Amino acid sequence: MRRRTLALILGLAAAVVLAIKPAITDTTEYPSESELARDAGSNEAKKFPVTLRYPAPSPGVATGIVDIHGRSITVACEVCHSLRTEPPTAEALGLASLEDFHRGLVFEHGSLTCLSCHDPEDAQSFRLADGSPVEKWNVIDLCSQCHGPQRKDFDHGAHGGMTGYWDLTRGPRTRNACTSCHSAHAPKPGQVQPTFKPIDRFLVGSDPNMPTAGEDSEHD
Amino acid sequence: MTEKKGPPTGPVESNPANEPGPADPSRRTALKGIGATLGAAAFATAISPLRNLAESISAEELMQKHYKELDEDEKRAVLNRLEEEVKEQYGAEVEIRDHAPIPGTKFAYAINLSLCNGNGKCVEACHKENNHDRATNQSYIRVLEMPAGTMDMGKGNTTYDHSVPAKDKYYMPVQCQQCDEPPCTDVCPVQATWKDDDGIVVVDYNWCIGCRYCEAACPYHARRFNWKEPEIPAEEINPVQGYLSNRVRPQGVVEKCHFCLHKTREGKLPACLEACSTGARVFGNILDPDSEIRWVLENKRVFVLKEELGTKPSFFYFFDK
Amino acid sequence: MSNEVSATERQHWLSYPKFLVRAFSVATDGPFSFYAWMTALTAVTLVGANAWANQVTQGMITTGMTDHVSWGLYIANFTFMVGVAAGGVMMVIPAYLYHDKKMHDVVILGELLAIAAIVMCLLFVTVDLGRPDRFWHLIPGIGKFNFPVSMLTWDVIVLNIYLLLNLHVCGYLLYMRFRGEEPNPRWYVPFVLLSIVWAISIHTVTAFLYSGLGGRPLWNSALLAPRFLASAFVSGPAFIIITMFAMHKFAGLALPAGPIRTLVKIIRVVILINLLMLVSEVFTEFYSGGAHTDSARYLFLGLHGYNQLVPWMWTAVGLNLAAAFLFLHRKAMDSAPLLITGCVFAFLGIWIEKGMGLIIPGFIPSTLHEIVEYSPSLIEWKVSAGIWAFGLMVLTVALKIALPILAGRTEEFLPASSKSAIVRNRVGE
Repeated sequence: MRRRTLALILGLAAAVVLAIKPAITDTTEYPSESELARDAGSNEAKKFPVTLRYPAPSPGVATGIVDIHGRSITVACEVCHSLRTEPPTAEALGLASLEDFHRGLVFEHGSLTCLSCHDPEDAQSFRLADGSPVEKWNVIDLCSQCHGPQRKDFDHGAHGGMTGYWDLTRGPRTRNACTSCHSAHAPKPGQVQPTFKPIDRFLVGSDPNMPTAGEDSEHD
Repeated sequence: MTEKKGPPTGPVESNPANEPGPADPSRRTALKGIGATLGAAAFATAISPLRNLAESISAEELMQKHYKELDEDEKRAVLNRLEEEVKEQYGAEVEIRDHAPIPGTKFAYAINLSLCNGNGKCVEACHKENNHDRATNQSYIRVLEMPAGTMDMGKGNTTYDHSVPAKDKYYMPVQCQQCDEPPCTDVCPVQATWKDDDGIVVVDYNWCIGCRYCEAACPYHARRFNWKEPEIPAEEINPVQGYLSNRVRPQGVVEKCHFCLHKTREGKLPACLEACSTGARVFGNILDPDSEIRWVLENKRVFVLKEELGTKPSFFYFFDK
Repeated sequence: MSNEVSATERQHWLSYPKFLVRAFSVATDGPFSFYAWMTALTAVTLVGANAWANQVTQGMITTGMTDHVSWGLYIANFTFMVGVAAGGVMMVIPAYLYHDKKMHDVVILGELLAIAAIVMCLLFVTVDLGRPDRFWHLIPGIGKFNFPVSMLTWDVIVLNIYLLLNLHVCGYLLYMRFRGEEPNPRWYVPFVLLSIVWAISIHTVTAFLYSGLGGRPLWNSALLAPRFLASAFVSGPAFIIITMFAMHKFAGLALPAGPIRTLVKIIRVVILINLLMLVSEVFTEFYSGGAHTDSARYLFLGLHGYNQLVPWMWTAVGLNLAAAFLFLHRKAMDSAPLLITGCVFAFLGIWIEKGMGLIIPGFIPSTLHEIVEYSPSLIEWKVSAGIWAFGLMVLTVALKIALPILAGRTEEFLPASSKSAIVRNRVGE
């Protein structure tokens, strides 16, 4: 009788532990708010999960140097940032200090500074604008602080793209998180070269500044 | 081919046509017969290329009924036959299924023009998903590069090939709008194209006679005609096919975007949306109040192309700013 | 007499095949020039047939058409020939509505022209089909006929019935002449009157094919159907006048001066109406401007440097103006060269204006405002030439058969053997 009770309690405890342990990988199962709300209130068919492509934690900063195998040498953030004893100076907070370290890092994010997102105490952590910590993988909440309209669009499936099913009662869906497309340091998407154009029989490629091949000064 | 000269009747004015009692009737008749035979032989030779074509079209294909009139057994037979034909002609094993509309769905599509950067991945995805002819890079989507500040498509350009996005330009992909009042279905003389219950305007490729009236009627350049037999290497053929959607189409018929119904009628997203690298595309069931597309239509300032024509498209565009 | 009447009536199933045989033998008999003409036409027809066979086999990629300009030379010719077919019956109106006796004799000429023209129309749409093997899909009851919504189905119906109407009227008149009987007005006058109305309907329906398309602003005009009718009633009679002169020269037919005068009077009025409608279209397009007038701009002035059709259009305008001038000239009735030149100018001018000058610019710019120009390929020219040759063959054969009636020498059409018997049985009114 006692063995059975013990086994039951242990089983329950294990179940509780397993249930609350978050899995921090780059494919976290994390339905968005609106989807949770839908699931909670509805008595429809079971909905398949929506997978968000959260980022994997960054190994560190590329130094620009390669080893004998050609692999880029990266330095973990803590290597330098754990050695700091005093708080960073005002100059260190600005972009000028990036010229010596963090080589290859392009920083173009409006008027933000490093500490807008990075936690000065822990090189691998981030914090929200009010100083409260945010999980390393949770770029969505981090970026949404300023990019509210995009977050609202995202919550309603109108930003960020997706693959999978439009009908979640029939299959799952995978969605991007912010950093899937936008680098946190230089978020503006870069130029791309279109690689696929229809080959029309008679419609010739033209100067990008003119809609057609011919000259017509009066009808532009 | 030679025909006998008429009897020596003299000048034209003396009514040569109906002289009773020709000079040598039997000889004349014999020569006329030879002439006629030679003419018939010449005609048969002239149209002899058709013989090869006749051999490649089976009797079942020739006599196949309209899609809406096929019962389940006949449909299965047709699908099996089509799969065999693809195997024989292209060397690829494919599975062609028939997809009925999901009850209670009506599809709508929206594109955020503030996000689209004209990279053309949707165009390429359509090309690959729908087994288009490789030589022409055919696709159902055309992307217009428009100068900022105008909606005049005459100022747009589809042939841009520089890196995108260009300064002061926005990009507008155009494909079939799956209109609620489609001009194309009205004009088809044989009802080979119709608007299905879930809003998709479909084509029965085995019923279309290739008159291209629908192509003339469409205000959005959505329709494509198979000017020749499509050429696709076997390994590039997408084997997951639908009868009304992406199966390899025959020469001489019209086709168009079908919202990837072989995917969407199973709940999946269309290929163009999955390929979009900027997340500009939104698709879903407009009848579902919780769908993404419904939220876009209710909360964004959407517009449609050529609204004044009264076609009532199911395809919407919006800007964020 | 009544016994002989009933005996004659009972023999229809005997005499009709004989009529057909006689017609065939009349149609295939003639002088060297006739055989040379028919041989040349046959050769061109065979070239066209072969080109069409190649087109069907290799696909319509062999034409110059594209997804941007998806209708071309075939539909242009089709549109023009529907007009000629409708205009051919133009002669019928004065004959019956104004009781112009002299016109009666040559009415059959217009109807035979209509038959040849309709045959050409049906051939032109057939060669334009991507899948001619699926022609049966169009047959009501057997296929799936989208009547009444699709204007193309209306066109199929009206064209075929028009063909049958004209075949009936001409066939009946010729058959009665063959039997040596007076044609019973009950059997042809209602059909002739119906064909007047029908002629207007075939071209109106054909115009509706184009004018009903909201996505094609050049065609989406209320004036398109009246323009079609006006140009039809110039091109049809113009061709008839040319045919009358040809038959006068090659078959010894006396020139029907009265009917020619009537036709010239008709053409004089209608060619001005046609020009007025053209001016109306041009003004409406160019005064208002805007994107929906791009097609008209392309046609008359060129668009963004694309101007392939501009010389053609201005030539057509020039030809129409010159033709109008010639027809209105006071010597038009009397001078054959003047008249023939006017007819040729009018025919060619309207061919350009209504054929290539209407169909092609409807697609330029495309509905996405792209500009792709169109030139017919060699295969298209061959097929079109083949159909024209075949149409001329049909017309020649038809005129050959009808020649005795036109010449007033009906007794020569009778079978040599039974001529005397049937003459005795001639039924009077």
